[in-house]
Amino acid sequence: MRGLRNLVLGLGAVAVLSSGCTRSGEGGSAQAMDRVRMAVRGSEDNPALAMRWDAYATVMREATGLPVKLYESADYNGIIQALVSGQVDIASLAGGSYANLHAQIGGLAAPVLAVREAEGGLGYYSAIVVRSDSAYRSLADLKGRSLGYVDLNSSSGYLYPRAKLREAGLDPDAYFGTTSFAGGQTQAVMALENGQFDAIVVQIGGGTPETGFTTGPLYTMARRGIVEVEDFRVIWAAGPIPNTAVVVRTDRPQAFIDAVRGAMAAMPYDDPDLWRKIGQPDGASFAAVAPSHYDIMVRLRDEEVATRRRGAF
Amino acid sequence: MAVWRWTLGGMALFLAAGAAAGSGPAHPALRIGAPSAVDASCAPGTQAPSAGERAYFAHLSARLERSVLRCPVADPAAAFADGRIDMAVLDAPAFAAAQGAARATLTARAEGALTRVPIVLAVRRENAALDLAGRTVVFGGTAAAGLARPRQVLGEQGLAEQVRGPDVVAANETQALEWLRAGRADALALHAGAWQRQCRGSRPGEDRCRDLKVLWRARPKADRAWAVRSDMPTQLRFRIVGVHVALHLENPAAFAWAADQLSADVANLEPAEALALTTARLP
Repeated sequence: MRGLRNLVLGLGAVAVLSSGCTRSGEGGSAQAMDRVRMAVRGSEDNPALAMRWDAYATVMREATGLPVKLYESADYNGIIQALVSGQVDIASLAGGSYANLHAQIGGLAAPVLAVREAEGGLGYYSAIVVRSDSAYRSLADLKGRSLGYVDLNSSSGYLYPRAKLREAGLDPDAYFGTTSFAGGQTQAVMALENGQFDAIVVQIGGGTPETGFTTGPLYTMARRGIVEVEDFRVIWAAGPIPNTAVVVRTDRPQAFIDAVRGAMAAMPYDDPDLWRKIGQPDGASFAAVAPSHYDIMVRLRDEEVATRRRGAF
Repeated sequence: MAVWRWTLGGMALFLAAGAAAGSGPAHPALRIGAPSAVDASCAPGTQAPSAGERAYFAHLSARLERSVLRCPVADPAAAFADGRIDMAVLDAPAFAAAQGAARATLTARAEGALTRVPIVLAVRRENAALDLAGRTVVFGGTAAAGLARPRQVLGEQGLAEQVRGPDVVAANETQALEWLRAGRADALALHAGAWQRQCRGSRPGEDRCRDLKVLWRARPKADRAWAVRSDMPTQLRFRIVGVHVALHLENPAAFAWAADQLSADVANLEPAEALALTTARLP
């Protein structure tokens, strides 16, 4: 009798403890999360970015029924580490940063969406930029000159251009006189304008070498009246680099991942005006992507790390 | 004391049983209309006739955490209207017949094709009221995004080839705008990305197309779409979209079946605006 009583008590305790993990609602097992945490880049150089993060937060809130908290980071590494540590559930990451993330936690994070341009492309470009009042018109003119990179984790501002320069037969560690990091896309442009570098390598997009480019830090800053596009000259461009990804922690409920992927993918169709206002290319949309989409960036990063370990940097 | 212990244990079991009953299945079944000569009772998707269809229903059920039923219907529009189904493929006539009971949710992007990129029709500002019948339209190049797609949308928006004047095809989008401004054409049709690229200035507040007037923006009309009932909770619709846009990556067998319901040679499923099966213009 005592054994039966104890059995009932024990079963009751286990049952109560295990039944309280989910709530009802169309969010399904996403309700097992109590909020959504998204890491975002600082947006001082682009007001549209601040609007974009708010718009993403709004659709994620609508999609999950959960409060959304944005965590702002000044650099790429802050976002990477926030995902590594699991302090955030989702972030927007360029391919190079995703490659770094992948090196640290592998399949615990995955890209789920990337922008597809109106013409169908899934990438942007890296450009070497000089001041238009300089004598530099080609890579050959920059031999022995100073070059500013963006950030160690930057796809367009470090990883991709270095790989392409190597492919073209140039050793980026020996060709230029000096190289260093500006710390960000905006910082790189300002450093060039202020004469700290002879050239910088930054992101450029909104088109192709054939159509011309209309986005990137040069254009963003020009539209804010900080610089003038005519003061700069693009002397080299390479790409396309896989577009920035929406990356999620894969150990979050699948229902959460599906809901936010669906909500964000629907944005350009549900509200095309807002899509433009948040600085996304007109006519573009989100395409579902798999980790393999960024294999090239993982490979480039692995090669870069191996080069550094050999002491070439 | 023994009585209290029994009572506590019993109450605990009772509460747990109640919670368990409430947590699964926590949601009503999703009813998907299947084309049929006659209406029939809904049945679990596991009983679908083909392996691909069974894969689709199993995938959806697992991801939406609910039963997904296959409901044979002779008239999906009527089935939406009287609340018998939650999701089905509709074509444009069926969508019209559903009279607001359904909304488009997913369309097909063909292999190698564009998404349903919006097209912009613009004129010189002084011609804002011009009747474009018999007038010339300039296009920005010969690529699909520059010519075939704008032509398709012009036709859907009442400016078919036989209505408008001879087409003028510029070498690229930049030249197309030059020709419009020079009077070599009365109107310009560009995809939205090209229009933004040409008009976006590089100074604060600059608009390089201030001298032009956009008459309308419109996406190409979808022929068929996966539709859901209009009053479906947004959260559920977003989950359905999120599952389907990645279906080609995650479950090729299920994707092949779902895509085949829309058209052949589909690369992936795209989200769709509610009125994708109409020629409604963008706001």
